[in-house]
Amino acid sequence: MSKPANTKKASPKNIPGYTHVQTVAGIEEYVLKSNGLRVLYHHRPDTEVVTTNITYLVGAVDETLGKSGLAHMLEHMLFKPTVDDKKAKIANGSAMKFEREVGCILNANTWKDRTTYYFSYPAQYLDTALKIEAQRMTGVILNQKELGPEQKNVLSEFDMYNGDPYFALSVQLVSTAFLSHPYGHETIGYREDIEDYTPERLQQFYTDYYRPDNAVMMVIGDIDKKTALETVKQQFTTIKNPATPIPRHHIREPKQEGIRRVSIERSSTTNILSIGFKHAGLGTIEWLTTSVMLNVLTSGPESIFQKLLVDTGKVASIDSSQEPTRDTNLAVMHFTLASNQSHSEIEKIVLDTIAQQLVADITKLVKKVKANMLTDELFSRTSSLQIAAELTEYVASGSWENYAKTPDLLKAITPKMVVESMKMQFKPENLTIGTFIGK
Amino acid sequence: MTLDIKPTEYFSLATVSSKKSDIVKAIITTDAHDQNNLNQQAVEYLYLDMLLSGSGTYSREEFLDAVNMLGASIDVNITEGKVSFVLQSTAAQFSKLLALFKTMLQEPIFSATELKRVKNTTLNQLHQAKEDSKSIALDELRNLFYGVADRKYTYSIEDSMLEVPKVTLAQLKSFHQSVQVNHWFCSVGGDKTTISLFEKFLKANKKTNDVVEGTHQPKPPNPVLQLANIPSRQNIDLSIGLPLPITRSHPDFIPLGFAVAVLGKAGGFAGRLMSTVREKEGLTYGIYAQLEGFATDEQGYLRIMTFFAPDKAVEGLGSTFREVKKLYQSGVTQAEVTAFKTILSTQQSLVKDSFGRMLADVHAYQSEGFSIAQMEEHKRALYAVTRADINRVIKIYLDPALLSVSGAGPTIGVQKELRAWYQSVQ
Repeated sequence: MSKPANTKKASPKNIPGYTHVQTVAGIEEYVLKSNGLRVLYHHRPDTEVVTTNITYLVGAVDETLGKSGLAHMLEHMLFKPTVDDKKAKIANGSAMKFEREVGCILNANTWKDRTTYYFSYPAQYLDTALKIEAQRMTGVILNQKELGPEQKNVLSEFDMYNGDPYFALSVQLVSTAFLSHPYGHETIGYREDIEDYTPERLQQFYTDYYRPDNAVMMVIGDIDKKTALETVKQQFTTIKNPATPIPRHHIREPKQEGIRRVSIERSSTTNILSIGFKHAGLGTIEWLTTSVMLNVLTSGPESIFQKLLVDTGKVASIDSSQEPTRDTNLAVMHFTLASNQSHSEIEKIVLDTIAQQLVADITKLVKKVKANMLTDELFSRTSSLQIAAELTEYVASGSWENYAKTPDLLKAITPKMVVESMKMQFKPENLTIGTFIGK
Repeated sequence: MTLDIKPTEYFSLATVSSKKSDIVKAIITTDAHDQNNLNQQAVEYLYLDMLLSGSGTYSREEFLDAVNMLGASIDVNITEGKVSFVLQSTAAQFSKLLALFKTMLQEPIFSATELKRVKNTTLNQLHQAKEDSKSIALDELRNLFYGVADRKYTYSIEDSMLEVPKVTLAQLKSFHQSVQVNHWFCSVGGDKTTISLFEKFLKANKKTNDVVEGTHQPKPPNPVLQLANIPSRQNIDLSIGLPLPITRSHPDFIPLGFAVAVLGKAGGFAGRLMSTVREKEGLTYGIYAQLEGFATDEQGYLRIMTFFAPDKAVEGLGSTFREVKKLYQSGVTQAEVTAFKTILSTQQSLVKDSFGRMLADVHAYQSEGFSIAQMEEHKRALYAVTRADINRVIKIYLDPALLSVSGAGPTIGVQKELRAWYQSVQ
């Protein structure tokens, strides 16, 4: 943590062109006065490496019926040439050029509430990386010539995921769990929607959401604050926000009144039972309690279901997932059945076991899970890429400063809270159950 | 952070030392490969779980409890007969973790009851692997390049499922004995106190240094198209490659590595395959090439890994082969050589961002027997490679007519077209 300064002149937070918002756990938040771009700065000395990460608050949650996957498709298009690239005759676009000529780490990912682009590179390339981000905030060319091949790549990506029985079942599971809320479709979208994308549709989405007041820029690494913030300002300060407000869909999910079910049948040797339950969004103690609960139930050889189902040969493997999203979402436990086991029998064992859990039975497991999660947190904060990745989820959840609170929140979770969480979340009116039946 | 590698009589130790660190991570790798046969592979399938199934006075559950209560972990993995232990904890708990690790290594129980359980769970996992199209495509490709006695040859899942039930406790104990007595390559990252703790642990507990002469059985190129039908998949996973008759210490290895990076640098978009087959033609989401299976004394191979939709498979393979042919005929450009040297320099710098990457980097070097000076010298040598060197080795080793193709996925409807295409490029 930086020491508090006494004089205005000496204040590390008094940066021309910016308003300092807060400093939490060594991470400083500023807002660029000219256009509202938020900047998070975190100094990691002696590494010679900088990671810059820009997160736009747009994701699958902003897509409407028939337009699933638009945010993800647009993410792909931001690696294509911009207007400035065309002028400078950079055929493959500056982002690709940067990677192909310098070897920086570059990538992007889209999730329910956000789209994130990042570069990791030796510190001397800060200006190059930020220039690319600024140019592609508004200057991406969206026409059929550029869209066509990339659309095929996204379809290839979709088929890659959809060939996986777990993914295929998850798609059906979330669409069954959510009748109205846009978390009911996967980020990549439906194949049919992807096939129907047009440049005009993408352009509208791009104009609506890619703007300084809908973005958070992170600069993390071995770079002094003055240089970092000056460079951000230099590249972004002239970008204007559209006059129109950022479109948001405030959709409330209708009440669920019993277990929802879905099934897939495919030619396969795999049989899966997936049990999904809705849980609170990231940044709350409820989200972390759910995380502890899922670990108690499914993670590692000493977890409840590993011992009960894997060790006894009823199930080949168990996986679970819980997404770090802003709103209530669906966490899922996947049980891959051993040969000759029935979906219904495993479902009965799982739900009966959860109903019988007592505080005394899980106290030791909760303690172990918390100890491991706390150590994992320490390890996850040892590289700028990992710090940026974790911070991104908190940015998208609405309060990045909860990133700093995670260890304390984790410590506060008790076995009683975990048992209460199980009781609440495994009620029939909170469950969605899916089966993948191999034929 | 400071790097060091110290050879000792029974083990070598690489260290990534920082002034202050709340965490510590240690890696121990040993080569327990003696011979490759069906039984040995079945033993390796069972070994890891058996090792974590009780030690000393601890039952399996008690042992796992003891590790987890520290907020620590001991992960064990095995690849081609090389066993690696990864220990991770806070600095404050590291001495307790080492005590548990010592018990695990020196007093494993290997009980008949646990063996029954582990066989059962392993058979379930093998059954699950029958639809792992990526692994199947890779294994089938490697089996074309190596004889059955080589550690890189993999027996079929069906044969393994018949062999697993036959594995005995004596066979598992014998394998464990090799893990204990063979040379250990050790690396640790942390502060001076935890590094010193780890070194003392090694000195007190590692007093043997056997070397097992494993069998290595590379085969010459014999181009083949091999297809496995897995109807539940949507894409055909492909491993395309050819065996390379050199080892890591051969002077052609570095220029060959450059050539393959230009063709399809793993990760990112820099390789020619990504910029053409993906970017320009939109035929796949990812396509990379790399050298695999090499060691100082073992020959490796080139592998191109990708996937195509069944109806794009012929077109995709055609594009892939076209790029290899172009490289073979025209070589790399000076601009590519210059760019890839910059890329290399950036990648070496990026290692410094992460404690974990620095540890993994130095561990990889020391596992090949490098000292710090040799590691630095090797990194410098990468920059000395010339376009002429690269283009010379391309002509020697990367003839597209010698490429084998192994595919796994929904191939049944396109096998005829794929075989006709493959014949046309031979």
